Amino acid sequence: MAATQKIRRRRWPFFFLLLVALWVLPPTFLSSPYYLRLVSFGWINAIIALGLNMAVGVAGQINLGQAAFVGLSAYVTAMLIKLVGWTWLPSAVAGIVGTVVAGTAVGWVSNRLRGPYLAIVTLGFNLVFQILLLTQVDFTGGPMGLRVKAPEIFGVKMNMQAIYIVLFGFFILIYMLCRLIYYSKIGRNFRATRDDEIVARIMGVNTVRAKVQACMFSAFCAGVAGVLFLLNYLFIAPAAFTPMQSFRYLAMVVIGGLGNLLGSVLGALVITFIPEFLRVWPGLWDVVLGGSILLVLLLFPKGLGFFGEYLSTLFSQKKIEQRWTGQIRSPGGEQ
Amino acid sequence: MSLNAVVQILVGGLAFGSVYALVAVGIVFIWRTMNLLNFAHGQFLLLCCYVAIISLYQKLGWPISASVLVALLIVGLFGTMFATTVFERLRKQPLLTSVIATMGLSLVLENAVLLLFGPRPYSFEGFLGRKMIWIGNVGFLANHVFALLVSLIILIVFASVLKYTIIGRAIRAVAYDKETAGLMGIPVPWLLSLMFGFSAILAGLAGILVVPVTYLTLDLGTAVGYKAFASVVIGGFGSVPGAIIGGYIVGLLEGAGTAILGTAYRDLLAFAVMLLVLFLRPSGILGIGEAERI
Repeated sequence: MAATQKIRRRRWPFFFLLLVALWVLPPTFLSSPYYLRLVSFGWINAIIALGLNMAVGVAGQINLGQAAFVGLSAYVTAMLIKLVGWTWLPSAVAGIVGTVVAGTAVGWVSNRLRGPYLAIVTLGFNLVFQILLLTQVDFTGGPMGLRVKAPEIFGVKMNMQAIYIVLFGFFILIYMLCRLIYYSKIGRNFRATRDDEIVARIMGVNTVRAKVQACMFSAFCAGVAGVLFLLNYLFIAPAAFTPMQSFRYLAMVVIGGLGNLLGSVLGALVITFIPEFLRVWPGLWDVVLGGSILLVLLLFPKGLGFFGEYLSTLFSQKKIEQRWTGQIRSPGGEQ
Repeated sequence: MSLNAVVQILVGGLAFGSVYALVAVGIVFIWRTMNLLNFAHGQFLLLCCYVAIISLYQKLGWPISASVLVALLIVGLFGTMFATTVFERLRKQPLLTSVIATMGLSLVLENAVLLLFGPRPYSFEGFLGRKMIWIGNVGFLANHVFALLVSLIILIVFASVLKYTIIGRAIRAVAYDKETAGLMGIPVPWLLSLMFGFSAILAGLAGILVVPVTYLTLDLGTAVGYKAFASVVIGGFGSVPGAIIGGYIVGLLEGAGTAILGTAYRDLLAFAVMLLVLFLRPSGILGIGEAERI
C-alpha cells in the first residue's frame, strides 16, 4: 500500500493511463449490457469491500451485516423515488444519510460492550432487515422487489455507458477517501484500536469514538454502493441483501487481505467475476470461496493484497519486501 | 383461541425450543472452552441429518435407529477432526479471525451438502410418523412430544455429567483456566477436541429431532444455527443454563409469532427480541451472561 504513495514521477503516467483505460474502455467496447453491468457490479462491490475493510481490517470491528446497509440505502432511495415521487438526487442523499445514521446507531450501541457483540448485532440486523423486506410488501414489493426509472441529466435519460462513467468516478473517489483516512490521524486511531485497545487508550486514543467512526465510514461506503447498485440495475430485490451476501462481502475483504485497500479491490473483482464462469455447478463456487477464506486466514494472511503490492511495484521501483506469509495483525505494508 | 390451540402452540414452541437449546448449549460450550464463536455449528446439524436420513436410511435402506446412531458417530468424529485441524489453530487467533473462519467453514459445509445431495427438500416422518397423542380433548403431535422429552433427558444427563463426574470436573476446569488445568494433569487439547465432537453430536441430535417437524432443506442449518445464537444471547451470553432457557424462550416466541402475526413473521420476533436484549440488558434476561460494559 505504501508503495503506491511512493510512485516515482517518471512512472505516474502509466498509472494514469491504466486508470483512464479502466474508466473509458469498458463502456466503449463492451457492447453487451450484461457484461457492462457485471463490470460495474465489480466496482460497486469494490466500494463495499473498501468500506468493510476500513471497519473489519483496519479498525478490527467485525461486521456481519454489510449487505443490510447496502440494501437499506438502495431501498430507501428506491422507495423515495417510487412511492414519494422525489427525483434521484435528493433520494440518493437521503438513502446515504439514512444508512450512515443506521450504521452509527449500530456501532454506538454495540461498542458499549466488550466481546463478540458487534458481530451478533450486525448479523441480527441483517436477519431482521431481510424479514422486513420480504414481509412489508406494500413498501418494498416483497420478493418481487422494486423497479425504478433511470435518472435524467438535462432531460436526457442516462444510458448504461453514462452510468458506468459515473459509477467508476465514485469508485475512484471512495478509494482516494479510504487512502486519505487510512493515512490520517483517524486511520491511525483505527489501527491502534485494532492492535491493542488498552494501549491505544493509554496513548489517548478515544477507542469508542474510533470504533463508532469505523462503523460510520463503513456504512457510508455501503450507502454510496447501495445507491450505485440501484443505478446500475434499476431493480432491487431482497435476494441481493441476505446474510449470505454479507458474508461474501466479508470474503472479498479477507481474500484481499485484511487491512489492505488495494487487496480489497482485487478481492471484490475476483469474487464478482469468477462465479460467472462457474454457474453450471451451483454450490461449487461457495465451497471454493469458504475454503479459500480458511486457507488465507490460516496460511496466507496477506491474501490477494500480495498481488496488490506487486502491482503497485510495477508503477514504482520499490521491491517487494514482504513474503506471502505475514503477520495477521499488521497486514498490508504499514511501516 | 381455543384451549386446544394454545396448548398446541405451547407444546410446539417448547419442542422447537428444546432443539434450539441443544444447539445453543454446543455453541456456548465451544465459546467457553475454546474461545470460539462457532458460526458453523448449524452446519453440523445439517450434515448429520443428510447423512442419517438420505444416505443411510433412504439410499442404503438401513433401519432408522442404526442410521441415526452411525450418523451421530460420523458427525462426532468429523467435529473432532475439525477441532484438531482447523479450530485448534484458530483458538490462538484474535476473535476477528476465528469468526470469519467459522463463517467460511459454514459456507464450505453447507455447499458441500448442496453438491452431494442436490437442492431438493426431503421429508422424513421420524420415529413416530404423523401420530397424535390425545389427553382428554387436547391433541399433540407425537413428534413434538418426542423431541421435547428426548432433548430434556439429554440435557439432564449432560448437566449431571458436567456436575458430578470427574470428566465434567475436568471440562469445567479447562473452561475456567486452561493453563492451570494442564498443569494439574488434564490433557487439555484432547479434552477440547472431545468437547467439540460432543457439541457436534448434540447439534446432530437436535437436527434428527427437528426434521420430522419441518422439512429437510439446505437452509435448515443456518436457520436453526441463527436461532441458537438468538437463544444464547437472550439467555445471557456465555452461560449454559442461560442458553437452555434462551432456547425455550426463542421456541415459544416463534410459536407465538406464528400464531399472532402469521407465518411470514415467524422468525422476526426471536431476532427482534435478541436485538432488544442486546441493547437493553446485554447480560441476558436472567442477567447471568458475561457481557461487560466499557
